[in-house]
Amino acid sequence: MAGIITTEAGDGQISANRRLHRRDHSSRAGVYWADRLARAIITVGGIGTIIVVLLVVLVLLANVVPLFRPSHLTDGPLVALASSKDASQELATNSTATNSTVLAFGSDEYSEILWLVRPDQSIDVYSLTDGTHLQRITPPARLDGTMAVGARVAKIDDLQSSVLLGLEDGSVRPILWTIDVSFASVVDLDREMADAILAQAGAPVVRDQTIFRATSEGLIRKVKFVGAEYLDPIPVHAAPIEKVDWVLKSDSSMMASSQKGTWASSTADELAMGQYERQAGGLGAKPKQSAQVWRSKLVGVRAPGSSLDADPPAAVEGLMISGLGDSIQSVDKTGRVSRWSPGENQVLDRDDNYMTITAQLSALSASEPLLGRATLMLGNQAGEIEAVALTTSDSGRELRTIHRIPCSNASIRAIAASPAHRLVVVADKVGGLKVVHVTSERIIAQLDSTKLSDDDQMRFTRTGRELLICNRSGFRRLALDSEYPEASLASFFKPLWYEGYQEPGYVWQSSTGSNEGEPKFSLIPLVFGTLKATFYSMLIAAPIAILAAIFGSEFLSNSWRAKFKPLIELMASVPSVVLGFIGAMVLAPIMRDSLFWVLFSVATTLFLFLLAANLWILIPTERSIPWRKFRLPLMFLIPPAAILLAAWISSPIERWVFGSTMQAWLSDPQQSSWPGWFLLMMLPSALVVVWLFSGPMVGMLEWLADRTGFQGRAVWQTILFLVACVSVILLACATASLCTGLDWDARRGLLGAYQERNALLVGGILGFAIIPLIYTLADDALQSVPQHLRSASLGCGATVWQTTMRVVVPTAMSGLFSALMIGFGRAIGETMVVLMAAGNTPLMDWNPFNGYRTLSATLATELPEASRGSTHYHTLFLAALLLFLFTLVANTLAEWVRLRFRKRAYQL
Amino acid sequence: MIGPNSKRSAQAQIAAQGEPMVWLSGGMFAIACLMILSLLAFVLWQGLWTLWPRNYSIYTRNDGSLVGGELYSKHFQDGQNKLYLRVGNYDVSNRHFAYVSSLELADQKPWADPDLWLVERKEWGNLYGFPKELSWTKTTQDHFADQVTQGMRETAKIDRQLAQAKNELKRIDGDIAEARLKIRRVELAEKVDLQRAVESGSVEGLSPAAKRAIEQLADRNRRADDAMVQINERIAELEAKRSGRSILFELPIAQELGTLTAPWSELSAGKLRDVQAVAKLIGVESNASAPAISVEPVGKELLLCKVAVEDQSIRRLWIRRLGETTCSVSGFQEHTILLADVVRFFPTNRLGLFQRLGVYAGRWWEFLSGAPREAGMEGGFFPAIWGTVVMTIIMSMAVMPFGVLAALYMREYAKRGWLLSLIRISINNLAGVPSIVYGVFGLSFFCYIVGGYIDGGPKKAGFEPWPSAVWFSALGLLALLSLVAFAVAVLSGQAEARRSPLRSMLRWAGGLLWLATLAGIVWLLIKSPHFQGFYQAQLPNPTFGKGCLLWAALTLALLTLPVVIVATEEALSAVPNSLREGSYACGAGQWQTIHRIVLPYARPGIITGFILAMARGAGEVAPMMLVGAIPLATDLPLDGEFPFLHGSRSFMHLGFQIYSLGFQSQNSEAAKPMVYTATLLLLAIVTLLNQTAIWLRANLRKRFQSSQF
Repeated sequence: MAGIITTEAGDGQISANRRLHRRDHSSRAGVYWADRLARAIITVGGIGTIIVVLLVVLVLLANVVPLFRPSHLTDGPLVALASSKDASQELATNSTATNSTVLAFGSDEYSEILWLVRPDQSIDVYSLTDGTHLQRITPPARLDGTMAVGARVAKIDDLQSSVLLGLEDGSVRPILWTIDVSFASVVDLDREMADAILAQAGAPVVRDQTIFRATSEGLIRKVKFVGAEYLDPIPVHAAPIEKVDWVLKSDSSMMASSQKGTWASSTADELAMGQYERQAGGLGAKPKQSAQVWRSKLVGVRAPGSSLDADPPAAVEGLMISGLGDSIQSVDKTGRVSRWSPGENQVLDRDDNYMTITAQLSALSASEPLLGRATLMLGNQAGEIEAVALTTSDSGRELRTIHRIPCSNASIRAIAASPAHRLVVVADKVGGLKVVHVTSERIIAQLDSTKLSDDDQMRFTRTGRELLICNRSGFRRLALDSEYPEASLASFFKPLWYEGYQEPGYVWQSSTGSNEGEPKFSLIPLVFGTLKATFYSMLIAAPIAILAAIFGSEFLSNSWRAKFKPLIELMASVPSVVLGFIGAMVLAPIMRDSLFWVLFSVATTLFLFLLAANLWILIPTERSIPWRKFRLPLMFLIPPAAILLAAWISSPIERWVFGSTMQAWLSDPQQSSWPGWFLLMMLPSALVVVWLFSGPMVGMLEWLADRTGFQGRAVWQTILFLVACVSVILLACATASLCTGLDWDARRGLLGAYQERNALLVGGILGFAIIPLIYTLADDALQSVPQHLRSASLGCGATVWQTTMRVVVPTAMSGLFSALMIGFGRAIGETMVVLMAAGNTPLMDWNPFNGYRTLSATLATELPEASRGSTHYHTLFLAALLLFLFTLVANTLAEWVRLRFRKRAYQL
Repeated sequence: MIGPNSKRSAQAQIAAQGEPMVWLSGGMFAIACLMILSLLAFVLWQGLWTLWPRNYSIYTRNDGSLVGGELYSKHFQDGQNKLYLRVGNYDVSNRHFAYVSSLELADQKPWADPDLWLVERKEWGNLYGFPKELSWTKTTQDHFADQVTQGMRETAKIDRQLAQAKNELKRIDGDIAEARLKIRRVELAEKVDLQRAVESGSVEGLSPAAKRAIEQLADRNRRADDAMVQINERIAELEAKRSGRSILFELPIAQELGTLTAPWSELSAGKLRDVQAVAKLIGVESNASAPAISVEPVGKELLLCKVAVEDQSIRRLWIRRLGETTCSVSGFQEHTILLADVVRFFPTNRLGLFQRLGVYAGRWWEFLSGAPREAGMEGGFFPAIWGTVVMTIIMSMAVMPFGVLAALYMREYAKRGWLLSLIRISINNLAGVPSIVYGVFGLSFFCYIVGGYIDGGPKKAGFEPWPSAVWFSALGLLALLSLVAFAVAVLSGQAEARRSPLRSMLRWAGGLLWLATLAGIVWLLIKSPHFQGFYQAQLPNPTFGKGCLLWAALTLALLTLPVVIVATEEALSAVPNSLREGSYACGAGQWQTIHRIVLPYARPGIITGFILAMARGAGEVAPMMLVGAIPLATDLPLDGEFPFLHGSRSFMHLGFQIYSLGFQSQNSEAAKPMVYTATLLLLAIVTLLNQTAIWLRANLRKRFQSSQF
């Protein structure tokens, strides 16, 4: 048929072919279209695999990139505060401009309303959208009919639900309120009202001092400022109060609610701390109130490091109540920070141990507690801000400057701290605003030309996404879009100084329990853990796998190799969760109970193999060749024999070397460090001795050997081996003594206290997982060395071993290397074994008896719990990307080497 | 031949043999083999031995108290034997297992009481004790077993009825939930709160559809209420019936009431009847003001004393005779258990070999087919096995077509060039990416993005939809683009007669345009303002927007894709070219050749890849932890309930079960035996799959070696 001939298509023949189509239309068209369709589908499927790989990378990247997006601070328009009717009346009657000053202000969590605290103790409530006046709350009239005492300072608590006034007469007065937020559906409101709100399309409607706004979920949100409750003034000082700080903690349960407020206040020469507590019993019981005050006169003290007897007292410039509410920190104009704690007889004690002078002696100009109230932020006239926090030190705890961040060339005017992140906004005298992430000492956003006046005050809103700048006549809203301020290259990969730490360090502590804790996202401990896992597992797996592959490929007959290969493949197929379980539940207790036995077994196994080899040489060649078939079974018998031998003699040796047990020695630094050095020095000594006996000393030994006859050669070799063994031990002893003499302790850095889940154990199990992989690949590489090379070498009179070492292995070297790299890649990403058996503590030391935490285990444990969209969540994606990149590098390197190797193998 | 040269060569000859190094490398080979062999042996031993019924042995401690249990293991350490006993009776003793040192024991030889029963319960694990009384019938001890068996049969009947009733209840609950969903849908569509409207009585302003929905709901609620009352009554009745039957046991727990002050031999037959002598002997009279003691001999070696102590609570003392010299006293405790809680009971110490085998087989059957009890520490693993199997099958159905397509493309269609090497690099890297990274990808992409999109549209998936107008104009542009792509493709097809650079350019342009169209379609889907998801009514509870069976299977499919591709490619390349050429020579097209010649020849190899992928997928746990495996699932992913396969359900997974039982459960010690069995099962499945693949591969090679032409 013509069709058959025309399949090898030439141009003209195709048209002939097409003519044939017409003749036999049904089947030919089917074939044609099936062919095209198959081609299209298969091509799409093939190219789809690239897309899938790209998708993996893309999804990881898409989750990582937002972390590094720059933040912006955007200025908003100035909104004038509309004065209400009664407010203007009051202003007219009072006619003092001071009463329109703003002492403090705050907002609700939906940024709907703004309230201002005035010196006459009244509160004005405005709409944050357009500045309309909603209501005015005045203090209850006093019994004697006089006006309320004017307030001098006021401080809103961190949750912005109360304020503490510091009054002219030296007393303090808390004012408590609630913001009533409720969501209603459209049908709840009357029709007209609902229509009015919906017609506004997201803009607020003010009715009845309440702000209504339609949300995107189709509900209507109502926000109202209700029930400001003026508590009775608590007399504290005799003079007008200059500075206050105020923390309110509410605790409400089903039966009762309690509020506990802590304040710190200061006058020109006195400092006080007070606690006020109120418990409201359930069901209309009368609330119980109590207050307690501690005071101290401000007297001069000697600053640490100062030679003067006592500095003159300086007025307090800033106050901070600690996060626990058990102490306060004060800072004066000279930058001296002191810590005070309540003592007996209602006296406030200055804690002499906790005092510091900030290094920059130019005068202090602003201060503000940072989120969590463990750090006091100070701004000075040189344009720097400093963070002072309690840190641990060798002598206990002390106040230290843990961050110093230059922000501006001009003097710092004010600092405002974010309630959501460790962010502060710093305003300088020339009108610049800088948003600084304190932990990483990074300026994440700035605004240069804001027209700030001296009258302006700054405050973050409850969510920390907006900055309010307010003065007596109006306010501005500055939007801060900073999703992940904690994330930066510095915080992931550089040492940072965290609160409470002695020095800057790498710390991974992703969950802090509360919003106020300082998140610590250093990936270095995890990367370190990953590398430690890989190092120890490769240390165990690489020699076993490579040597086993050499033996399997070069010394085993084909039929035997075919029998063992499925066994090794079986090893590869063991699920890692099984390995992890066996390791953690079976091997870990064994190793814990008899650590030295396990370690000693390694030594006895090696020794027995070498001994057996030397004894084998003793057998005359004519006997040993027929007995060769017993060699492999003998090898199989040696490891169990070595383990039994070790079980038999390990405990006396352990007692002799370590005094008691190895674990006790490891965790007791009082004992001599000699045994540890001895153990550590065994391997280097063995290498040195092997080198000596095969290199420099060969000539001498030959000369010695010349005195014996031929039959004694093998005996001579065996004697030599035993001498070598003894000299290894002697050498290790000598070096160990030397190191001990030099007073180096092996337990500092190299070894350490024993943990049940440790690196050595995981190294062994992980080794189990990667041995078959490396073995198979190495075996393939060795097998692909052309047979004629072996034949040539053997033909020249080389022994099998010589052929292996000088011909086969060098040829297959790059293949072996690529096998190791692929094993490395597998070990890096292994999850279950590490998760189950490595203890998962993010520590950084090389101690083989301690655990670690890898990237993969962190992903497995933390990702299901991380809240979607948080910095933690995205940081975990960065960890996954790192893991991906590690394996990408390892695999690509292996692939590149393998391709080169293959090319070379073809050439041979 | 004794010249210095020859000596040197002899010396060198020994060194050249490299015997020490050969032994070392052979040793490493042996160690590697021993590692896997010992692991297999250990898992096999532990896994097989766990379910075997053992004797309950009672040991006497030095202080006279008793400790009993099934002996699980015994190992020698620090000059003493450490016995690992399963002591059971968790609700009384608060532990499942105990270590006992042989140094504590007065007598190394345990004693197995033939009357002791082992009762496997639905709660609290095993109970060991002596049956004393049945609540529903009076019978002699000899017929206890028959009575209990009879009672269990009847209870099972009640249980079946109870299950039926509960199913009914569940169905009604489901109906109501469905009605609620309907209402919610109407609410979403009409943007009103119907529930509140009904409560406030303002139904007038609503649309007819809404009114209808309200009526339906009310109707259904009314009917459901009636039915529920009935069913609840029935359930209560059945429950009462069920709890009416119980067995009273006396548990042999160690309770140090007293110690015999004199050896047993001093108790003559006459003294045995003397209550006061017994009381003196066991030293209870000192701490009980007026003990009323009665003695009743039970069997040859047992003596039961009832001692009424001060607080009126009656305790049983149990005196045991061992030989003639030592005796010991320990306490019983009484314990009643419901017959309905009994899973299986047998006099464990009296069983013969065949009975033991029967119990063993029964336990295995329960393990393989039963539901878990006690948070998975007891009972069966069926949901986990089933979950693994269903997930693996879905995974292989997903991975198979793509793997084979990709391999066919690479082997049969693609030209050598940068594209092919790019694909190869991609596949190599896919194979090397750690499995946990796939888990991370699956969680982010499948669960959150795709799942979120299915649940609640683009917004839920984290994309801001375009305004309607923009979207429709984009749709128009896309239509235009696809038209252009089509035109270009047609043009490139038209140009087939002439081989010109234009034609190849057109082909490329056509391909790129099609790709762009595809990307555009995806983008339009993402940005659509008109798609609100299929499960909006269920929100905020995610349906597909969480870890579930489907996403787990797809994640694993991605993970095993390289395995399938590599194996398939190997199989395709093993098909001799001569076969292809022969087929072409007969006039077959390319697809015909692939379909009729290449694929059938490569089929065993492809199946090998398939099985290897299944083995890899079944054993993989790390990604499962992120994309859907949970420790305890109430529902099976594939069951008799419409639509049978529930892709949105979370599931139990054998490997994950090993991890969660061994490391996350409250009592991992108690779960250990179960974990060993699960480990054995998992290892067996994976090994079986792998060995099948290896066997297939070997056979395949043979076949081609013989058919080379």
